Amino acid sequence: MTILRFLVAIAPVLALLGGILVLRWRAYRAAALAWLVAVAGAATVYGAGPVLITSASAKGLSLTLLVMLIVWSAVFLYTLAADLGAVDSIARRILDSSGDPLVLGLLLAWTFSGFMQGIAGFGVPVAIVAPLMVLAGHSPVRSIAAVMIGHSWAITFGSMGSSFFAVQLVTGVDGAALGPPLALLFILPIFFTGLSAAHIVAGWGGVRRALPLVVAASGLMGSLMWALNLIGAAPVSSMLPGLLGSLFLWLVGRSRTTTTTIARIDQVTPRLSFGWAFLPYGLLTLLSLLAQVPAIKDAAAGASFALGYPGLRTAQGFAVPAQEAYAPIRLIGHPAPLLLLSTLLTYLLYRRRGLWQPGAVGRARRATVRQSTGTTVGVALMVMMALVVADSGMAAVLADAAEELGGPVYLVASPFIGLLGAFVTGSNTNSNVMFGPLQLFASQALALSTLTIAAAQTLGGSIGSGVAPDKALIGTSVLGGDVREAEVMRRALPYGLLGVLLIGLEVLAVSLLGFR
Amino acid sequence: MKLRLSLFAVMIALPLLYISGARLQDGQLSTGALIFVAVLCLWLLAPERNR
Repeated sequence: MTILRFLVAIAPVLALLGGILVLRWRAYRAAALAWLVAVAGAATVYGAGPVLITSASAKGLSLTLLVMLIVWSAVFLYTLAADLGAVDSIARRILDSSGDPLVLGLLLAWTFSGFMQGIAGFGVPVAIVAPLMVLAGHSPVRSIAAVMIGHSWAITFGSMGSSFFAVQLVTGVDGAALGPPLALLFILPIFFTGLSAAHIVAGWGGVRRALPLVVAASGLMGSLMWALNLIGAAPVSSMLPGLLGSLFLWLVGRSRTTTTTIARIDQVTPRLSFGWAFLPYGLLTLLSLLAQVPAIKDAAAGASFALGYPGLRTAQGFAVPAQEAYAPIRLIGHPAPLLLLSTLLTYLLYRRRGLWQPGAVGRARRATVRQSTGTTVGVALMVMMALVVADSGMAAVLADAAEELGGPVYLVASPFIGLLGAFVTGSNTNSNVMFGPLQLFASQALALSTLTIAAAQTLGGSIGSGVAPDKALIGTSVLGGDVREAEVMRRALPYGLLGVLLIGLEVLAVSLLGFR
Repeated sequence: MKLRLSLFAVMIALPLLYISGARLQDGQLSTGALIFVAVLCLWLLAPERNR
């Protein structure tokens, strides 16, 4: 019975992975199969009634609404900026910043994408930076894969620290205690994701050439992340290190002259100056910072939308607690209103300056619908499946199985649990919410440090979210053409798995050395 | 076209699932809402003719 329960619990995840990686289906088809498998297992083996399954699926759609509002508004801002010529102008400036394609690839895929994750997140770095990588002459598959792994260091403290707050919320760990050691543990993933991006962009030769640069930039970025956490500035602990890393690589790139040419640089004809081109994203950065001002945050504290969910129980006694306001969409704090306000201000300022193109909104709207529809259907079904797995007690069985591994093995396995949650939901935050309590129970049962296990959960979730199928979906939908998610996943996933293994060994070493 | 219709179905699934499951906690309505999503999933799994 226990083996059957375990197999049924793991089956939805295997269906999702098998559909994408083996059958090479589009992610929304694999997610449809995974939801059906999850519902069948929940109803037959786990004793979940229709009300519980329906409620869990609705929760999944609540989370989808929260995430997809951001993706739709980010894709709209991006397609509008592209239509107005802003993306070409930014690309020209960034592409001109270095004659060395390797430094440029690192700047885009690793540090600038980390900065974008800091201010927006939820797939926006992939949507914005992958096209720039293509303009720099890389293939679409390489571009998406490099950005997926390249920005994954920035996810826990990205989106203004949403995943970091989630892990505190569900494990009860104090943020002031968790932040600084977590930032120190992040130095290894920062370093690893930099080398991974170099490997995807330029192979082993690129890794050798990039090593000194990645060591220096990782040291700078990791130190700043640690210092920011020491002063309690977790919400900007990805944004500012990303910006610092970008500035460092920009300065290095400027000092390097090589004979290597960048494939498509001459095809880019900028219509706008860099200042005007960067305006939509500059406004977004400014508004994101303003949203952190306590007075503004407090003034808008009540302005939010959320659905409430009842406490329910399966026939086998697994209890799901009631949620008064599940996945709240806050006027200040949710990136979508900031993205839309940036778009509106861009419209007003461009019009005033005479830079506005007639019909741009209509074209951007049509492009956004075309690019985001498949992603939305895929993410909705994936997150619905994840919530059915969590609320029916399947996730608890998976955690119990992990617990039986024993202390040292569990330490190495714990970031993989974070990775798994993020992989199936596409979100470090969702993974922390889904598996955080179970990691907490496991750490107590095995007498392990809750702080270390909470860190391992979100470290694995950070990398897992970066290489999750929804990011591949976003990348392929933005770039269009014949790029398949399966090709991108095959390219990105090995780096994610290796990165999380290194994190597991790092967590084990820290624990063996007696740090708690 | 299939994806556009699926998006529309996903959009109406949220109120359907939420009202039948979380609000009314009605077993029969919930089963109906689940069948609606299951049909959507089976439709997505069916091979596309125009490819």
